[in-house]
Amino acid sequence: MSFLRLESLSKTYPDGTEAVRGVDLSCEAGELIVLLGPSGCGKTTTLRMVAGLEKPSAGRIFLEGADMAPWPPQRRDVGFVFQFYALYPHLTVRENVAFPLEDRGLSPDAQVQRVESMAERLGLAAILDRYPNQLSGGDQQRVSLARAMVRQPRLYLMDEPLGTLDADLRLAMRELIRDQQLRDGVTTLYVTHDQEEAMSLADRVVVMEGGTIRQSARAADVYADPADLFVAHFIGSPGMNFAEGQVCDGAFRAGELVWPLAGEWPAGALTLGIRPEYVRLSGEGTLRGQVLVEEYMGSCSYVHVETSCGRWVIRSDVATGHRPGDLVGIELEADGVRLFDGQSGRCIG
Amino acid sequence: MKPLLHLAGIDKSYGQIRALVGVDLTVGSDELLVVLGPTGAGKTTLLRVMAGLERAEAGTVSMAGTDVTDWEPSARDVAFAFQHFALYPDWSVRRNLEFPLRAPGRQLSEAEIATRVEWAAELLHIESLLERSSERLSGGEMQRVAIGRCIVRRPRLFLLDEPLTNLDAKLRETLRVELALLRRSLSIPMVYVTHDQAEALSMADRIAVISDGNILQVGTPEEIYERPQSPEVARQIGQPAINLFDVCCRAGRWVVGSGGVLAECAAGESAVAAVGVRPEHITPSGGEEEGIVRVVEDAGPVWVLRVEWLGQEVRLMAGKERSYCLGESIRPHVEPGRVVVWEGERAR
Repeated sequence: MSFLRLESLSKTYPDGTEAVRGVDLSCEAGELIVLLGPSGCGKTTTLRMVAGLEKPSAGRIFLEGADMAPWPPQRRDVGFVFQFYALYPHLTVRENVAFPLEDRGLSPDAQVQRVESMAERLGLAAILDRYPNQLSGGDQQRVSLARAMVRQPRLYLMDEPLGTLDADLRLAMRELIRDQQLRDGVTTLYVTHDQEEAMSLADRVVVMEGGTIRQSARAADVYADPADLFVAHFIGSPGMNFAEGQVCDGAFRAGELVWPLAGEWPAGALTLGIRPEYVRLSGEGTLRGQVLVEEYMGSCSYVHVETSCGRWVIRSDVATGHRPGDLVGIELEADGVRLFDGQSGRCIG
Repeated sequence: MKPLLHLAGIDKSYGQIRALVGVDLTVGSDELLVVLGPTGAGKTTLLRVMAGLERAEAGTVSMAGTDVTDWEPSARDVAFAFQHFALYPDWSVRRNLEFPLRAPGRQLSEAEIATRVEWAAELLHIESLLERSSERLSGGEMQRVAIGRCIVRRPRLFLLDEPLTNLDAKLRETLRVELALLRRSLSIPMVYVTHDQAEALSMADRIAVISDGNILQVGTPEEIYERPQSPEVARQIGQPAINLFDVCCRAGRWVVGSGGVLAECAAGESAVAAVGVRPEHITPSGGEEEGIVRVVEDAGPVWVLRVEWLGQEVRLMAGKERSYCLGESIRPHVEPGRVVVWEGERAR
C-alpha cells in the first residue's frame, strides 16, 4: 500500500481554468518527491489539494489507505511550509521554535520537550534564549527549519520553501532539509520550479506541465531519459542540445548533421537531443561550427558553438582555451543521443 | 591592461558600519570586472561610488587619469542598472528605453534611437513588451527593461548591480552569455556586481572578491578558482563548495586532527596549515581512509556525494557510470597535487 496516493485528481476553477487534470501519483513512506514545473503547471494546486486547502473537482487522495476527503486541513496532520526564513524578531529562538506547537493540545511539558529535542538535533541548544538579530545567517536558517519541523506531522508539504533566499543560503538550506528529511523519514512533497534544486533533493522527480504529469522517475532517469521534449528542455543546466530534422534513407538528417539510425524508421520529422557532456570537440566532427564563447565554470567548462543546427553547448572537464570565432568539429557520443517524434514530442529512441 | 577607472584608498561608512575599507581597484578599458561577494559585503556601495551617486569619506576616483572624485554622475558618462532601479511607471517600456538616448546633448536621429531600442529589446527578449506600460510588468521583466535602459547607450563604462538575480534559471543562463558577448562586441568596460559565483566565473575577465568592505583578491577566474589567497576567498567560489581541512604535517603527509591522512605534503615536520580540496579533485575510490556516503545528490552530468570522511562532511563529485547507496563505505582519494595549502592558517 502506498503511503500517499493521488487518484485521477483534477481541479477546475469556476472560470473554467483546468489547473490539474487527472493526476495519478503514489508516494512510498519516507520518499521525498519533488513536483517540478514552470509556473501555472498545476504543482502548487496539487499540493494545496493534498493539504486540504483546495477541494478537488474530481479524484481522490488517500493517506495510509484512508480517503482524506472528509478531513479538514487541520485534521490531516500535514506540515505545510511556504517559506523558510522570517523569524519573529521579538521572540527568542525557543519561542520561535515553539510557535507552531501552540493550540496543538500539547501539555507545556511536552512542548518544552519537543522544542528541546529539536534544538538538540539542529545544534541550537546553546542559543535557545537568544533573539534572531543576535544570530548568524546559518543559525537563523537552522532555527527556521526547526520551527518548520517541530510539529512532526505524518507528511510534509513544502511549497517553494527556499523562494526568497540568496543563492548561497539556498544551497545550505537545501542540504539541511535533505539531511533532516533523511533522518526523520517523513514523507515529503516538495514543490519547486528550480530543476537543479529538484534534481539534487529528490528521491523522485515529478515533472508537470499543463496540469498533467509528463514524467515521474528518479532524477537520474528524468535527466538521462526524458519522456518527451518538454522534459528534455526543462531539465538540465545548461540544457540539452537539439537538432530538428527528418528521417531519410535510414539516417536522421538536420543541416549537415547525418546520424545513422539502426532498424526501421518511417520517414518523417524527428528531433535529435543530446546533453552537453555527450558531445566532444574534435578536429573533423559530425557537425561543424564556430565558437561563440567559452564559459569557464571552475570544475568544468562550457563551449558555446554556433552550428547549422542552432547553438550547441559542449561540456569539457578542462578549459579548452578556444577563442570566439574558432572553427571546430563536434562529435556525438551514441550513448547520449535521444530521438523525439517530430509531432508528439515523445521520446522514441 | 590599459586602465579606465581607478579607485584609490576608498573609505565609506554608514554610521557605525564601515561599508568600504581602503579599497584600491582598477578597471581596465576593455574588460568585464565582476565584483563578487555575499549580501552586505559592500558591493553596491562600491558601484555607487564608481557612479558618483555616493561620496566616499576618503580616497580618490579617477577616469583615464583624470580625478573625477567630485564629479556628478552625469559628468562621468557611465550607464548603470541597479537592482532596485525605478522605471518611469506611467511610461511605456519603449519610452523608458528611449529616455537615456534623448538626454540633452545626445544628437541621435529618430531612426538610430528606434534601432538601438529594438536591438536591446531583442537581446533581452522583451520585444513584445515595448508598448506596455511599465507598471504592468513582472519583476523579472522590469529588471530586463532596467538592463536595456543601461545598454542602449554607448557610455565610457557600464555598471550593473545583480542584473540577473530575479530572473528564472533558463533566462539567466542565456542572458549571462549574451551580456558578456555584447560587452565584448562594444569594447566598453563593465563592472558587474553579483553574489552568484557561476556568473562570476563564466562572465568575468577578472573577479574582485569582496567581503566586509575589503577587497580580498583580484584575479582572473582561473586564478581565483585555482589559487585562492585565503580560505575565505576559496569558500566564496566554486559549487559545490570547496572542502577545507585543518591539518598538520606528519612524515611528509598532511594529517587531520583524528590522525587520518589527507594528502602528501612538502612542508616541514609539524607545520600546520589549512588545506582546501575542490570536490572534483576527490575521487570516490583509491584512498586509504574509509568514508561513509551520507547523501547522494544528482547534479546532472555527475553525482555530488556528501561523505563523512576524516571526521567531517566532505563533498566530492563522482561519475555516473555507477550509482551509490546511502550508508555505503567508500575510500575517497585526493588527486595528487590538487590541493590548495595555506600554511600557518586555520580553515575555520
